Amino acid sequence: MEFVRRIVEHPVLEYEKGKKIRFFFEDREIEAFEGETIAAALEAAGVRWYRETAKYGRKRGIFCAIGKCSSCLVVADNRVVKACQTLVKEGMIVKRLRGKPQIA
Amino acid sequence: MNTPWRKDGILDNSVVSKLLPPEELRNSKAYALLECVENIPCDPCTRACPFKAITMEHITDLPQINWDRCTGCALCVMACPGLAIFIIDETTDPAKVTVPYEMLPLPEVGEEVKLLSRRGEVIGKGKVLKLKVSKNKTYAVTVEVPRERVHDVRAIRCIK
Amino acid sequence: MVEEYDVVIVGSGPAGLAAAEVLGGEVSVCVLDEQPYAGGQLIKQTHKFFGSKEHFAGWRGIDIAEYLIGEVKRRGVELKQQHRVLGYYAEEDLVVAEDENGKLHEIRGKKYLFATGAMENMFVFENNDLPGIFGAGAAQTLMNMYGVKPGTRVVMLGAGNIGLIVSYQMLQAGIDVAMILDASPTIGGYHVHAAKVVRAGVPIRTRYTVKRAIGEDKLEAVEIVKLDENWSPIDGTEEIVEADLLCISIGLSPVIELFAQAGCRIEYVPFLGGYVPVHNKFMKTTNEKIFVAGDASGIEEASTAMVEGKIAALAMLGDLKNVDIEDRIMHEFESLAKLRTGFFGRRPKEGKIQMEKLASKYGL
Repeated sequence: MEFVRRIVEHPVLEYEKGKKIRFFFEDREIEAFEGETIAAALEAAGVRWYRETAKYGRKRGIFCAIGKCSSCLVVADNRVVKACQTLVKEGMIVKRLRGKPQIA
Repeated sequence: MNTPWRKDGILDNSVVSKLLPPEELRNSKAYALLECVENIPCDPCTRACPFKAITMEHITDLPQINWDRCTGCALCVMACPGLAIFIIDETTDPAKVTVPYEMLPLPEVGEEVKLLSRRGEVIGKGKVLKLKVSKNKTYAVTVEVPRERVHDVRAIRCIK
Repeated sequence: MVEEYDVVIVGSGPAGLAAAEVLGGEVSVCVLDEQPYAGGQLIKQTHKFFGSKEHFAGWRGIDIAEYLIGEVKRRGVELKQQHRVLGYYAEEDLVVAEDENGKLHEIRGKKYLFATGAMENMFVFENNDLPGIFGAGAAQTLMNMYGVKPGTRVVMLGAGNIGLIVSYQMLQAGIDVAMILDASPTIGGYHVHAAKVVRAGVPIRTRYTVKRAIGEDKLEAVEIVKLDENWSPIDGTEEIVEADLLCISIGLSPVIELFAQAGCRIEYVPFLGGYVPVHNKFMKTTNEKIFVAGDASGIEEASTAMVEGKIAALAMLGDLKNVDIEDRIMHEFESLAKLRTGFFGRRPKEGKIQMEKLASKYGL
């Protein structure tokens, strides 16, 4: 079990959390909060490796977290999305993007 | 401009000694010490002081303090965005230093905390005497400090 | 169906929101932003701002965002989140935005403000794509927006203001910051930001850099090395530092794709952070319909971004309605000049002087 990385108390911030939901990443069931991105939920669960590059199979996770670098692409409910820009949903099925995305 | 602090972020005593008020004033009352040495565009300290002790003409000037007006109230300690203002009281033994604090956990009055230098070294322990807080959540924590360390202690860390 | 507005703003960061605040109530305004939440980087900035009262000095970024969002909504501005602008199409004179469901929207303005911000620069070293190597801003997003620790033990590369501030924020979130490295002989950020982290026990090592990242499917350690006076690694000074997060904070680049796609002229101005759209002092680009403000026009601070947003908004207002904006715009020019003085203001000031020359070359 990975260390779960939620900040419980903060000297300046109060975190308003949405409803507790569950989603799946590579067959693992993960708890998340409504209103947070897939990336935030994955990082909170200790997941760092989101995809494998097409040419060399390099493992990648998030880098910029503001939708610019595309390092965090995943497949969520059969769509290729940026994990840092896409809000996680109840029951969402998220998989690592391996290689090039398929265009349906 | 001679700026040795730009190597590691640490103001050494030769710089700090120039920021101190005259000795007779230091022996007579608590005073604000502004460890603000760069011309950054910033002026909230001048507005925070109810006695108009801190002034600057231009926003990138260094703040000027009129210590005769300063009461050591610590409102500027909580207002300074750079957390660069401290209240020093060397009239008592042990002396007192008030530092800005935005960490957890929050100490309680009477609690013993670690005393840290500008370098982040633990240089002793001291009792918390007073806590004040501003509406933007910066605390001003007053701690007891050995007199000979009054110009070294610039931060605290809770032991609990 | 094409949605029509007087002004379409792309980007809801400090520049876009400050512009919307000026324009709201005067003309119809729509703000498009690809992020799930409005506010740009302000909504992760927990530190208190510098500047003067009119630049929200002493406020924390998060509180500035809340205030500005409230003000623009009150003025009837439409904020559309999760609307990624794909391009500006001159023939139809409109932008196309894709929403979170993949649906496309055509949105037309009489004027456009592209306040697209900036992104973090990458640094070249062995294994620099290993998961667990983040831009400092990404760490800040996770911590301050979502309450998630980006790591447990961190090495920060870059002692500019962002590197220093984010390190301090990590301490506030209960994360162990092992050290801050900077290849320069001096720290780049304000002394006060450096002093906060140093007295909390975090060492700053200047003339140090990252040699390689170590780990299989995620970062486990960082190999650092000392640099000599010619910025070359000194053999034998390598050290392995255990860390599960390496933050890169070596500078930002303006986000200019939309300007380039729209056909605005782009020039390279190092003092402004690299390639930037050519603009005059009213923030107008070489396309008279398109304005720019904030980091997209040159890397600076949120305070200057807000002033530039107001200048662009006033200039658009002057073009759209027959109102006298001269006094208000002069006031904002003065405000910008004040912010760009002193040691830290010299680079953007020089960059903007170069930009004025380029603008006149293009007849702006």
